[in-house]
Amino acid sequence: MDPRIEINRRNWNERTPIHAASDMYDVDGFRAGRITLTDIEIDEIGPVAGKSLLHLQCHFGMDTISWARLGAKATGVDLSDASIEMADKLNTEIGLGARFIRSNVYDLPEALDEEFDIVYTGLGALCWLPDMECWAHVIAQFLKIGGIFYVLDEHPAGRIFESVKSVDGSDDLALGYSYFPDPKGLLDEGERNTYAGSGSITTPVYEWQHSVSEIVNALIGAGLKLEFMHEFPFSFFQAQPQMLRSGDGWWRLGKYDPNIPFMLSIRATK
Amino acid sequence: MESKFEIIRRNWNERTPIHAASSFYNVAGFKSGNITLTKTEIEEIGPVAGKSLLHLQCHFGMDTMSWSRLGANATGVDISDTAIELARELNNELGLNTRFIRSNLYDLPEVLNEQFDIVYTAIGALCWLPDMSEWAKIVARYMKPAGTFYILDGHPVSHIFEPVESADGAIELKPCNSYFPNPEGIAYEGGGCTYTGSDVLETPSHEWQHSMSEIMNAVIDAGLQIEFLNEFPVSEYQAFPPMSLHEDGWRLDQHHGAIPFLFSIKAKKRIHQLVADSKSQY
Repeated sequence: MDPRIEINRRNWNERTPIHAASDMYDVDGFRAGRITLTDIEIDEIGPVAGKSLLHLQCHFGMDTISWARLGAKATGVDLSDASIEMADKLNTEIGLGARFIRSNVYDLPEALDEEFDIVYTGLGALCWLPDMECWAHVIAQFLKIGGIFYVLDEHPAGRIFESVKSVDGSDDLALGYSYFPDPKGLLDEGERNTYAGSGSITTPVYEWQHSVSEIVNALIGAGLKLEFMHEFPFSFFQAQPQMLRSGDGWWRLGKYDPNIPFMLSIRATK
Repeated sequence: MESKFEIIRRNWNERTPIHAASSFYNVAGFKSGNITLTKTEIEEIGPVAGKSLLHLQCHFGMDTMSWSRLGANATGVDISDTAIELARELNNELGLNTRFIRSNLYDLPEVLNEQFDIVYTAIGALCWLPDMSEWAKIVARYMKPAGTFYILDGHPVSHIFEPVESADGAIELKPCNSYFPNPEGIAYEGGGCTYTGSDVLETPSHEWQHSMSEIMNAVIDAGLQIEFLNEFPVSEYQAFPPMSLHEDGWRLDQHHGAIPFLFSIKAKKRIHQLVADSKSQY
């Protein structure tokens, strides 16, 4: 197994309690009945009632259980032990019969042998995966013939900007990183905050950039047919310091809005 | 008011003699036998010998006639009168049996009723078209069942950037233009340069930005199945000051990061889609 996946497993074990206690994840609101999915996902996937749904990289399962609240027979998979423990607890408490499996995406065929109507991946997932080709083959393996795959995630072009100071001292953006994938990935060793809650993380983590063509060609290469791709000029987190949260919950640039795509969705069928 | 297509037609009528005289187009080299196509196009399309090929937005036809040199039965279409005149002249001189038709892309069904093994579009084409959905329907209409569509063109992400001088005098690339399409397009007044040199054009022009999703969805919705999308960190010209010429084209200097300057899409016509279309249309 890729040792970097074990590094990420420890990192997500450390993140889980911090995220669970954060306002961003708002676990109490979720317990009270909140659907944590975005309108984009709900609209673009369509009705799920009675359908089997496999959620890859589900973290501690609020989105997975939200699909169950919308009527799906939902299964969530995550590589983090702490996340799956917490997901199992929430699931027992809420009682909608979702199922959770601890496994990294690439090893899932060793732990699960089923086919689903829908395979789904939510926000903030692809950057934790080194290999898009293997990822797409795992997706195809778990899809029924005619089943749909759907992903909503960061747009690779939204990840190539760095924050710079303009001449007048204000926050500005400039090209700073490569759009193209690098199989080596990026190792973040330092102590840092995670994107939700307060509390510092000490374990290292690996991230990988994936281009649109790499993602699309991986899905096609695994035998899926593209139905659509959509691109969005807003983000699900504050990707740059000058971004502000709009009333609809999405983060937008001020000065350069809406010049940059920050999210993309892809739907494909087997 | 003059239609945007007439603005573009006049603009390209003015560009043609300037381009034909430029070292960028190197017409003398072409006359002596050069293939003007890129290695990428030749490899990604594959063998064309004996195949019928329709080249949309062919300018004065050197790429179209290069496909003829590689064995295709090639037809080129362009909006510009002077471009098609020059293409025909070159074709007669070189005896390549390439056919040329003057037409705006969207009006092509009024003058051409055939289907081709390959429909092809080259660098610098989509920015002159307002409507991707109608464009893709035209593409599909001219493909034989199971025929191939291929395009190599400028990548929409590269269009976001403008070079801006920072406080310390360095050039930074900033996201000054929208990635997302705007059906109004952008009007350029006369007095600008064309891309082959410093010659000034008197006529205005009009361009449109098209996002990757807009292009892909148009192709899919027209009944084509995408076989691949490729993205390339090289440009056929120096798009920004901090770029250097490498063996395969112009690349951004390393410390700035890398952006995609070109993309290619290959797609085939889905046969079951044709059946569905013929049922739903009437």
